[in-house]
Amino acid sequence: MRIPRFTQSSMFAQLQRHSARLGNEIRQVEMQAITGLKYTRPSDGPVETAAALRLQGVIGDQEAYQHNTGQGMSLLSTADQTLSQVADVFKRARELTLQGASEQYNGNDRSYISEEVTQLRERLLDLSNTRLGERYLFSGTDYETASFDATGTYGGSTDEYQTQIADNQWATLGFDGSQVFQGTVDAFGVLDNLVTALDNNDPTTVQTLIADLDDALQQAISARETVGHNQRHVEDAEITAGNLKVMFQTELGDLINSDPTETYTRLSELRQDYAAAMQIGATASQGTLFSLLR
Amino acid sequence: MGAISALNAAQTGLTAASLGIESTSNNVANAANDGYSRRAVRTTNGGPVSIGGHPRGAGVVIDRIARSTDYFVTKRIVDTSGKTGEAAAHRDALHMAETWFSETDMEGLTTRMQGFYDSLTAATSDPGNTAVRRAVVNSASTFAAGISRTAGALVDIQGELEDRVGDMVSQINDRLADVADLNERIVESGSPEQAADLMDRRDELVRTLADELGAELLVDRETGEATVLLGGVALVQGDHALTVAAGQNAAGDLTLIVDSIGDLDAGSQVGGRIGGMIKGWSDLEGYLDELDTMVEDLGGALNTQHSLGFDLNGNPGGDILSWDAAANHLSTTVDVDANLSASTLALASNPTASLGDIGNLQALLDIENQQLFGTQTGEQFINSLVTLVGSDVRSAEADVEHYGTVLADLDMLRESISGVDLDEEAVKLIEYQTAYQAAAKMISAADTMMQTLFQL
Repeated sequence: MRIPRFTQSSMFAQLQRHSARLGNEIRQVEMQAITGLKYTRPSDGPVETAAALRLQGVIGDQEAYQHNTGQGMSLLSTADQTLSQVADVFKRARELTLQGASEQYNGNDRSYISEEVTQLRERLLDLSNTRLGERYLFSGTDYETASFDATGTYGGSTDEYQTQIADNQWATLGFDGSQVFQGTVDAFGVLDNLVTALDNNDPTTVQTLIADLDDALQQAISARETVGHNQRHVEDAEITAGNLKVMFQTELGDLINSDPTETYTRLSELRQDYAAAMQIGATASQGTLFSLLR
Repeated sequence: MGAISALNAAQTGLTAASLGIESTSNNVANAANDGYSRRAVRTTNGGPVSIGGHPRGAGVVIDRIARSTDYFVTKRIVDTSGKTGEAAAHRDALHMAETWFSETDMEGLTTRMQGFYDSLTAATSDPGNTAVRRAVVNSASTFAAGISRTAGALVDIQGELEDRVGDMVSQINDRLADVADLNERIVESGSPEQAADLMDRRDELVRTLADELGAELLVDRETGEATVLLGGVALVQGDHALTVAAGQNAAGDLTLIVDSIGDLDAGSQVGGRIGGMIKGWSDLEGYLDELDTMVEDLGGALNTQHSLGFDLNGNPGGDILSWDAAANHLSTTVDVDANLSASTLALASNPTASLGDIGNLQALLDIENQQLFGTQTGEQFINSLVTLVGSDVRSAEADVEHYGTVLADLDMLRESISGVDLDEEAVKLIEYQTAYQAAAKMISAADTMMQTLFQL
């Protein structure tokens, strides 16, 4: 029976091979410990890398949507407050109209009422040209142009301005002022007509303008409801984007982050194995039969 | 007569023991020599010689100094060395390329493309803002730079591989010539046993050629002559060696060209490290083709859509990305168009548009989800490419592991047949030393006998 031979060269070759393999594995685990990542190169996990890239892309999308929704909330909140004040203008104008239509008031009284209505008209003009920063809220897509001039002529765009707040979802941030203030009834025109009727001491005409004022008030309330609808839309999108971002970040972390305890435990094991292999090699290399010959 | 016979017999024993010690000494000296095959003195008994009708022994006859080797193990080692070398070189080439597709050490292509689309999404909230528009232009520039940088790096790596192949080729030609020279000297020596050292050196050279080229070995067992084959072509036959050179075939791919034969099919005929480097070069060429496709198809779609829009001054949009279509790999030349700026960014769909007109911006964003690459979007296409690179590296590493293990096992087998065991040699030394001492004693005894006769 042939006895297999195991030479010193074989032994050292095996030792070299195993210590190289252990050294390689130690380096990989050390890299995981340093970076905190399980996969530092695509080859560490091709499938996991592809999944991680997809998740990073989705997270980036949510961050962009959060940026847009944040800006959108500011604009819409301002628009909502503005339209609330517009409604207040018409509520006061209606009160004054009722007074002006009453037989108890004379021409002098009506001239004082006319002065207040004129102030309300100026207030309405200011509100219609509300800006956040350099952006007019009621000029549509032409948001760097003033919405209305002093005559009540609309100068903006009839296209509404929108921003993307989620996948395939858009919210209106810039409204068509010609619809908000002149869609059902010309809000400026109504107040102009009221001033004229009061200056003419014409209670009959004043009385007929109550219906127009009601329409103008309802117009402002409707516009505020539309803004509110967009606000809710944007709020929902902001919350969704935030939640999705956290969820995908957690998923990404679970996928690519290394567990420190596992990593350091494995590193300790490998280092011990390496030291043991070196010790065995050192012992085995200490002598052959030649060292015992005289 | 008896004393003289005894003297002769003892002398043969002394010679044999002396040769045994010399052989053992040679083995010990070459114990760490990787290509060495241990020697052993083979003897037979001399005679019988008939003297006076009685058969007498004639001492020991040295038959030969045998070289412990196994041709089939050697051949398998040569074959596996070729595959191991190829796998290692292929893996090393892909490792260099993989760095440029990593997303952890640097912003990779996926991150940069995503950044471009994210900047477009953010622009929907304030399209007239100069800073926001500038961010879009900058992110397009960053994306283009990522592509050209990656493609440029791949081309540089290909150049490095070509240089390495060229450097190795001159060494290979020297080795082929050496093998041919050793063949001649082995044949001149008369028999393989007479040329054991030459054959060891020759086999080691062939193994190195296998590691470098994927060469195969055929040995004439009678003459000891070796034929070195590469893909069926005899690079060395007898004392004649061909030369090889690095070059490109008709398709422009890197390959080896054999003198008087022509270029080899690198995929099927060339192995070893050179074959691995050629394989890596070819894989990189594939990656570059994918990057070129991405630039043409995605860049083309972006440019086409952008040209349908209008900038802040009402002018139609130009290109977002530009590249040299005539370049060998156009992806190395891609950059953001020189005329693209915050003011020429065409996000509106009407020439007389207001600032908030983002009709064309919306259309540009839609490109993100268009299946421009078969059934894949741009992001999916890049992700597939990154995954492909990772898979190729993983596969190459598996080959290295596999062939490395097989080669290690074959080396162990060769060592068990041909390697020098120092403990074994120590025992043989003691044996030969004892035999030498005994033979010397016999000579001394025979001499004493003859002195006694002379004094009669």
